[in-house]
Amino acid sequence: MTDAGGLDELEHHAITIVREAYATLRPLAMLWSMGKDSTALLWLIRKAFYGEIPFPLVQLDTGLELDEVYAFRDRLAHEWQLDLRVESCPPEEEVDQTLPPATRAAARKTEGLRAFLQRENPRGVIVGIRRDEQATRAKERIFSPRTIGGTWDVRTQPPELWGYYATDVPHGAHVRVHPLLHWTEIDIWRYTKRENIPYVDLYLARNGIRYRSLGEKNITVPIASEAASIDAIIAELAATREPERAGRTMDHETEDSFERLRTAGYM
Amino acid sequence: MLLRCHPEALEGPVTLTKSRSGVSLSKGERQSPPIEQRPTRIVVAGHVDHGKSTLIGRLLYDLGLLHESKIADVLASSARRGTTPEWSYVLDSLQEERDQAITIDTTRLWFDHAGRRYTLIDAPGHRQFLANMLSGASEADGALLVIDAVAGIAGQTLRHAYLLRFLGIHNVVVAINKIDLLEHPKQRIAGLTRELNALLHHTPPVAVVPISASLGTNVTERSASTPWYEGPTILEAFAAIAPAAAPPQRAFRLPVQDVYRRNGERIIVGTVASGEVAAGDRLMLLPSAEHVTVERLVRWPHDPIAAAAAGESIGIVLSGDRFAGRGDTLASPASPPLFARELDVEAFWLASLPPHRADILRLKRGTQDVRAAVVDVTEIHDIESGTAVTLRLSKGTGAQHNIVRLRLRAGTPLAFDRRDDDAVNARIVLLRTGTVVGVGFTVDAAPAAPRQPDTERRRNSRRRYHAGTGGTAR
Repeated sequence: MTDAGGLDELEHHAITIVREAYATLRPLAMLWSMGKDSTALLWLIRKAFYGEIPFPLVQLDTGLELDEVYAFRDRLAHEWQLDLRVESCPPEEEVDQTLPPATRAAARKTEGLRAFLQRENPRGVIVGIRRDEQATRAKERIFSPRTIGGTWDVRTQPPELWGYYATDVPHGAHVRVHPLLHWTEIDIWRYTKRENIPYVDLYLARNGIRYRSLGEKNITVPIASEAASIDAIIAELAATREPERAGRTMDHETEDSFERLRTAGYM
Repeated sequence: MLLRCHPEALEGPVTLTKSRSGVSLSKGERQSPPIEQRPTRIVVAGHVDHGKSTLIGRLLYDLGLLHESKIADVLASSARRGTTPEWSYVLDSLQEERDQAITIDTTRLWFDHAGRRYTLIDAPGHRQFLANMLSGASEADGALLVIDAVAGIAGQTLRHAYLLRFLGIHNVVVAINKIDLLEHPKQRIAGLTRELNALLHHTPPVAVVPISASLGTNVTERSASTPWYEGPTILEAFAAIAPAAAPPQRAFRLPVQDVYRRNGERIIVGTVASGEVAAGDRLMLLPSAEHVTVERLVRWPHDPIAAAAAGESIGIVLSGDRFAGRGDTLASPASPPLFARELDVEAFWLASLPPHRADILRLKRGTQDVRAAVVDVTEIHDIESGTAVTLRLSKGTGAQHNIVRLRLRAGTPLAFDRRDDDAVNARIVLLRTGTVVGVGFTVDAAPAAPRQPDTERRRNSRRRYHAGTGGTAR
């Protein structure tokens, strides 16, 4: 394929995936975190379905997103006429207390998702994760079947090749669908720029700091940066060896903290 | 108008910088920053414990691509488990993988070198995880086959080498690892190279590189410890693997994924599997075999495009608003696919329970998803011994992780191509009770079965034309 930086191929592939999910997994839903990845995905889904989004969007809300993130959510929900369901996550006291503190805070979203799954019983849930974000996410499939409890069994993932995806799950279980799995952080920014997709401006540097990854205020910290435009961000990323989620406290508390989150059903 | 830029066109002198202003962009209207071709995807295969993950970890370390925190993580995790630095931890991120020093599932890593982007796909070497190896290898442009210099060619070396060829991956770099453990490395390497050339005689390796992953010998830099070796390092050998070029001109095929109604018209969506399509083209729609005309190729929010090629996910509006549905196939009427109920397939068998006569499987070909009865198990090919055995001799055992040839009778006729004509449109998966049991190719229609869509249609038509459009079948 003729291609500028592989973006066309990535886009075509992702559109194929969301169309396949819609054709084979009903009811279908998508998690939207308002971050750069799931917002780029939202745009891509509108392209796949000719301007519509034929399934609901779910925001797992801890009440602790940054103010700018909530403002961005409300603006885009209005402008794009999104069918957005805000799912309130249970308080930290109700999650697994053996997890380290920041991981526990993140696990609230797992519980919020579980409540949504139990109530709505979707067969497919689209999530905007990428392989290059975090090592255990790298082990994912594009169509990743989850058990009835919503957990991830990393040992028995089905083979996935040639665009044939696992769509058979027992009643009550669901398939996570990851259209951006093969994208990198730089791909997302290049695509956001090329397609002129809106994003939260906290990603741009102000006063020497910017957010590279957006999470809850209590467990996310900005990085030192002078990148005040998408081009500057792309240049910064091309030069850095600092991992993307360095500012996400929960990933680093213990060696297995993120894997424990993910096998229990976290995104 | 579609421009093809072949990977070779992007290759220049070794000093190539990231600026590639000579490369024109697709479809003219886009102005992106100077950018490379998509990454070259290389799967790392080989027997368990021969050092695949260690080699990848070492490669990234030598290239200076590991962040201090990752290096610290590797050192700390190694110390906790009481080992010398285990570079494999860079990839083996799961707890169980680290504890058992084994790769369970496929993963991938990106790196840039000498103006090119690479994706390394780490595939597990243990036989138990062959399904994961297949998943990783299926998307690769080339392979790095890692062999333990001391242990030599082992069971999964053979199986992986065979599977690479089965999947159509022909660019193979061989790394003979752990040469630091050899007393007479030169002689041993010469002997192993002879064995390898015999094993890979169908597709000779790009290079056979003697290395030590743990010491970094001949990984990114030539080592003084192997003065007798004059070939490339691993990194240099990678440069010989190009992203798979667009396949030679093939007939148009589009498996229909879905049909959306927008503003009163039907948009047939799907991904072009082969060939090209343009507005105004006459196509054949299977299974009905009626001839249809492409009115427009629609996009959102942009204007319609004039034409599309393989790999593009598109939407087609047909003249006369013809009815179509998921599982249908749009194809070039000049060279339509085979269309038959009874067909021969060859598959890598994953399940422990072998295929048997009267077995009812599910067969997926493109977006077609049909029930198929096993009429006969004609052959089981044992990969390790290299011998073919008939079912009667083997009593059906030994199918798992080997190649089976089956004759199937599908519930409804299937559109497909012969593997020898067009391997992409011959790809299939076989399922039993929702689980993938085989992956492979359609080989041919069974000799007795009719092959002409027309003949089949009269007996098996399951679709009706959209009311009011009338039928224009030949």
